[in-house]
Amino acid sequence: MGARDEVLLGTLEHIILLAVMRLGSEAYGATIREEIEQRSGRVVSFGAVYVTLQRMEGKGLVTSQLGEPTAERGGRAKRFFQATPDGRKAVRRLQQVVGAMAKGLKEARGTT
Amino acid sequence: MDVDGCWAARVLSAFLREGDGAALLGDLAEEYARRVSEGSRGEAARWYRRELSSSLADVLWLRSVECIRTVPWGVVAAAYIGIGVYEFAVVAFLSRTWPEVAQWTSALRLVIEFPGMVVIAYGAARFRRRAAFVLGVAMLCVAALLNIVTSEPISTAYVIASLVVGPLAAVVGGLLRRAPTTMAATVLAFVMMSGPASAQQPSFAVDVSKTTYGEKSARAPRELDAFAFLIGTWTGTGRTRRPDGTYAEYPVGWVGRYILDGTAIADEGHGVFPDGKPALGISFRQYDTARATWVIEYLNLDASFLRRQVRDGVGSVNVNGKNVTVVSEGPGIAIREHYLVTDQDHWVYRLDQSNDEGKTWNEGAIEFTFRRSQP
Repeated sequence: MGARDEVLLGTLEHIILLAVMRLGSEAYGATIREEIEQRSGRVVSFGAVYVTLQRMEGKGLVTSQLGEPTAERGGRAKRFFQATPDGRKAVRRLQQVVGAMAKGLKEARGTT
Repeated sequence: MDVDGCWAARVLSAFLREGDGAALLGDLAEEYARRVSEGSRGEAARWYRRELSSSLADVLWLRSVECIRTVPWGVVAAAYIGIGVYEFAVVAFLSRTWPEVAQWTSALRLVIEFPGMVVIAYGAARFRRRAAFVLGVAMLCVAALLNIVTSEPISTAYVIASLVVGPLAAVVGGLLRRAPTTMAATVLAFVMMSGPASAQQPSFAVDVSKTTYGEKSARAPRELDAFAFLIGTWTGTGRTRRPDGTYAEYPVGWVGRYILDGTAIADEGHGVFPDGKPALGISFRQYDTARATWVIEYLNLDASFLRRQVRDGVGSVNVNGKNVTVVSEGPGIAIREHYLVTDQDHWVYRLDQSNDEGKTWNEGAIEFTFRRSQP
């Protein structure tokens, strides 16, 4: 995959993809949302999570599968998400780019 | 807390892929149950409503942004330009073969252009399926905007045709791409049915032998009745105030008739100037229902000028019972013409004149008193 073919991640895509990778096999709407809120303090609606994940699935960055319906969810199934190799690669590449751009920058370290 | 079957669940299901709407509502229910077990039910219910609202807003917003981003704008723009070129070509062709229809504000022209627009929209849909539908929306928006901002007089038929023909052609073109056989059969049936129907439409050819003067048309606007008292032949006495305050008196005549197939009024005045020279003039009066305004023009034969008295935004016609006042302005002059109708056989014309933009008026500068001479 050349530089021009790389999948560019948006900020929300990046955050959600990191949450999916952290949660592993327990990544579904409620846990992804909670993980983001606990770690970043950012509150993301379930609607934004699902639309973003569906878009990322279209790009081949995540895959999903429906689980079994449960009573506590009103008989509705969970949709579990998993990062694909392309998704993990996109995160690594973005981390490299951000790191390279921030290297030596005092403001990026939070010291003004 | 369950929203199954409510409008929120239906919206989420419509804008998310199959299963995601239910999964999202399941996540909400799971989180709601957790919050109920940890705190109060009322607080959890408030959280649920707030979260459902923000999820709906985010889904609608993000889907709208995705939709706009994925529109094939290039194909839409090319198709729109193609339709513009096609319209110019049709107008150029019609101006030689059917001049009455070769007007930009002709509804019939738009109908004639319909099949070509369908072909262009179909071509756009062949490149990108959604292009035809976006083209239809764009045509609808542009037509609505042009109808609002135009200063040209346009008929109701044109307004309707401009809003319907283009967008409909785009939709038909798009559907032709999806279901070519069904749509082709539908369009063919429409053309076959509309053929005999259009043959029954009134011809645009003019038969002047059937033009009747002096009779009001049933198609004439009701407002024209304000000047119906002018119809007929009138004789009487006129008087004009001289600068020294004395009056010059002279015989006057007036002839009023319906013209243009009974949809407008022309009335001519015959008088004498204070210096004894004849004074001849004719007024044309029409009420434009499309623009809801009077159009009155006055041709002065002796002084050789045509004065625009009333038009959209210029001058006014004020009807008070049987009496009418026409207010008009010219370079350095303002005029009030009072038509005071006594009964069906008598009326008075009185003219007030101002030479200082209406600050002072020479009231009754000219006055004609008429009685009916012939019906």
